[in-house]
Amino acid sequence: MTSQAGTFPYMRRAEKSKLLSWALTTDHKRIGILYLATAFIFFLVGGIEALLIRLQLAQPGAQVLGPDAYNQVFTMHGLTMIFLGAMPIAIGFANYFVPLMIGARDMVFPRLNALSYWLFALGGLFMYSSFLLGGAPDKGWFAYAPMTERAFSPGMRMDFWSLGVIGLAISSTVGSINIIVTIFQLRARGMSITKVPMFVWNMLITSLIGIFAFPSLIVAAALLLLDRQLGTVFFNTAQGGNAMLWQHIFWFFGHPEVYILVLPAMGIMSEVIPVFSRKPLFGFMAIAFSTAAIGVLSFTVWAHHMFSTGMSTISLLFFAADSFLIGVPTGVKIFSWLATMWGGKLRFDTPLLFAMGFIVMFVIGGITGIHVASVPVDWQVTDTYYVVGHFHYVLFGGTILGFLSGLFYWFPKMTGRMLSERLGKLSFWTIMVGMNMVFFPMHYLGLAGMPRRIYTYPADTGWAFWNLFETVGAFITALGFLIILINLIVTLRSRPTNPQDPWDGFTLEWTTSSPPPAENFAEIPAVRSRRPLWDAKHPDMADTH
Amino acid sequence: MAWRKWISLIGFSLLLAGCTANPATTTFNTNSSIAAEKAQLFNILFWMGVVVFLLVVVLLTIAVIRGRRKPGDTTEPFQNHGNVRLEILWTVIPILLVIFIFFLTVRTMNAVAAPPRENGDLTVRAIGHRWFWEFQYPDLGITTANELHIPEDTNVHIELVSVDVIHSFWVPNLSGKIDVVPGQQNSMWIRADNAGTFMGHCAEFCGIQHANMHFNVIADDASTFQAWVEGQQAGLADSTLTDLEAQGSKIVTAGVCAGCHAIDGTNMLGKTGPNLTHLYSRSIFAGGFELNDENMKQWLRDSGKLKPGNLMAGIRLPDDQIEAVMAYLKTLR
Repeated sequence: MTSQAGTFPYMRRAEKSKLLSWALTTDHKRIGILYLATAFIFFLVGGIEALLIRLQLAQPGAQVLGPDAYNQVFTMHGLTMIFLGAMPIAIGFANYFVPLMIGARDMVFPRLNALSYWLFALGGLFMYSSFLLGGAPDKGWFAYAPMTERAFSPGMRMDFWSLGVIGLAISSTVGSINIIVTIFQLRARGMSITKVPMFVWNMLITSLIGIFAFPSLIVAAALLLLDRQLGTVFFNTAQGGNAMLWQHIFWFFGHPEVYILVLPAMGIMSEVIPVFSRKPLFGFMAIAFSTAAIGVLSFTVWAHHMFSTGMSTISLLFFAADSFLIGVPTGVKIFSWLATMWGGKLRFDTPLLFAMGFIVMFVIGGITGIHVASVPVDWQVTDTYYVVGHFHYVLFGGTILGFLSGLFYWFPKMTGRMLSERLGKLSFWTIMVGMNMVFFPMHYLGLAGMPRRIYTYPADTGWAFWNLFETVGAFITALGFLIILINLIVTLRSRPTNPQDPWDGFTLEWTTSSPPPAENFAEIPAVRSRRPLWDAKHPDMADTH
Repeated sequence: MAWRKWISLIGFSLLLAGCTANPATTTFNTNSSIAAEKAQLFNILFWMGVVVFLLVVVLLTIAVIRGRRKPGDTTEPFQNHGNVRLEILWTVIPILLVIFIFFLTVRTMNAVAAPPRENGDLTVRAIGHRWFWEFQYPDLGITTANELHIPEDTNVHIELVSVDVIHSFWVPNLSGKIDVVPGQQNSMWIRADNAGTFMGHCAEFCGIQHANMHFNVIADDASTFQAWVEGQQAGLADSTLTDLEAQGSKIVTAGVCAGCHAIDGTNMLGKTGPNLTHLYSRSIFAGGFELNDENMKQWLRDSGKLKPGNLMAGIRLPDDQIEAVMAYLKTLR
């Protein structure tokens, strides 16, 4: 905030140096861009790790990575994509757009906001520094005990995991609290909680899930650290500790985490599809309740990650039933998006293409999600490539495609420059072809008996062909992201055209300049309906709610 | 059961024609009512999924075709905010569908539940080690590794034991997997309808050599199984060793091998590594490598090359001892 510039000496220095001004910023838009840029870099690193994994698996007995390097790489791929890629991208979008969409001048706690960014950035660097200090965590992102105990994981690798994860979880908790309070406190006049844009609503639910889920992760990581460093025996089975305790605490966080990763992208879907269909979101309240229902249910399904651990039949049935139920609100959303497009006048710009890609890909991930929730099927496919295929359709086909839709949609607002539509469409089709080549055959390989997390496999299993096919697909996907990277660089180096409202949008972020000025709005607009900008443009067809 | 196999086979393989998986390690080519029930359930869910997927794709396609803007058309479409009836419809139908799926799930769980132990059943203890499987037959007094022999058409109850970290016992053709958790008594059952050799894997990530923790399940007809049992129960043939074999015997029994391995009738009582008593009656070793001269030679010279990080990786035999040791090991039949 400019008014503070005279108060704090560091602020005065910051005004002189561009670098310092970014490092010390508490402006929600700058922090949002820092989040997005940092997370995008980590995302590219995680993508390179994915390519290494695919190279190693391209043929049986390949020697690209040894088993030790492979285990570090696949562990870091998971950790990176979840904690350093997808989650901070969502928080980045939220940072930038939640205040703009609710007509606020900043997040409610600007300095807390900077804290959560720096905890994330430094937490990520801390995690990656392990590569230079004896090796990265190598026991999977889920770090199952007792394999993570000192007896089986000497050295510091799992300590990097514990401390890094604790730092990142604190960062996300801080960010979540900030988002929740901002949404509760700083909405424009007239914007009741049922009139917030759907992206804002999704970020609210996501953040609420977060503040209940992250403590569980912090507890798990802290107990592991105690076991490893102070000799407690929470998970040390050799001395009476309990291996299942770890899984329960971890997945009590781990499954809600899936929704933390996918709800923000669903929020973007609910913004992009109406604007590019020229209609309001179909069944706003149904979608809002579905999102909340997913948030609640997400805490009651964690043990479906543990169907093969020898649970009692009654527990199996409870967690299977709840897992099936999550399919219902998810289905409501899919059909509501289709109904939003139905009867619309569609504009097939890149944001809508990625949104349609989301619908089709996410449905595949949802259907296979029902498969793995069915206990007897899960006994066959859990811990195989079937599950890897399933969650990549959710997290890549859902989360990542949703984020790309948001990137093309909001990039003009953030930078004053339009991304190239031609390159955008090219990247869309490349990524669609590539991702299906990588992830679809995984279902088959799982059913054909291929376990997950193996660095090599014998030739006589017959898994080689589809593995090679997937590796080709991985490089096609990478090419798609290369096109996006080129698109970003070329666009950022072009002259800004500063389009205020290039997509003929509905929500408040399009009522201010691109990029918005400090404190966002000259005057905070008053809001009467869910589409304030639509109302202003079409007073004759204004929304009634 | 043939029709079930048939249905489960077409389920996915039609879709990915040209699939090449080894029929001995897939969930399609079932050789057991347990795996067949699961494959059948998968198949129903798969086709239900196909229908839902096609529904979404068709609706999306129609919306896209209808939604194309005519050139020059700048008007806005009708502003439709929702439709309560439709919204109820697409809430209720999925609820009915998942209730149906839940009942299918329960039905299949009942169908594959472990039957009570009866006379004539076999009990096996499967012990997960980093990174190989040990198999004990408590009623028969047999301990072996890497290969699980079972009689066909017999219920086999498996007690799952881990001596270190979590593993998971999985033979895709015969059944789903159950984890092998240290400090917890898990169990499962399998049954092979016909004789054959089926590949099994450790399915839970268990460290650096998780990938090389395969095993074979060899289902035999009753008489072949009986012959195998007798072979394993018999002590080692008391034939006199040749000079070379005797030399190898000395290296093995007096050297470091005894720290981890056991050979009946010798002073070797180690429990960490696989029991070597009838080593050369097996066709694979060390979690899935074919037991041939080339692999064994490589293993003894530097097992870390074949299986990096395995717990024997630090122990390397000098070249001049390998021939003798191999000669001795080959007497362990």
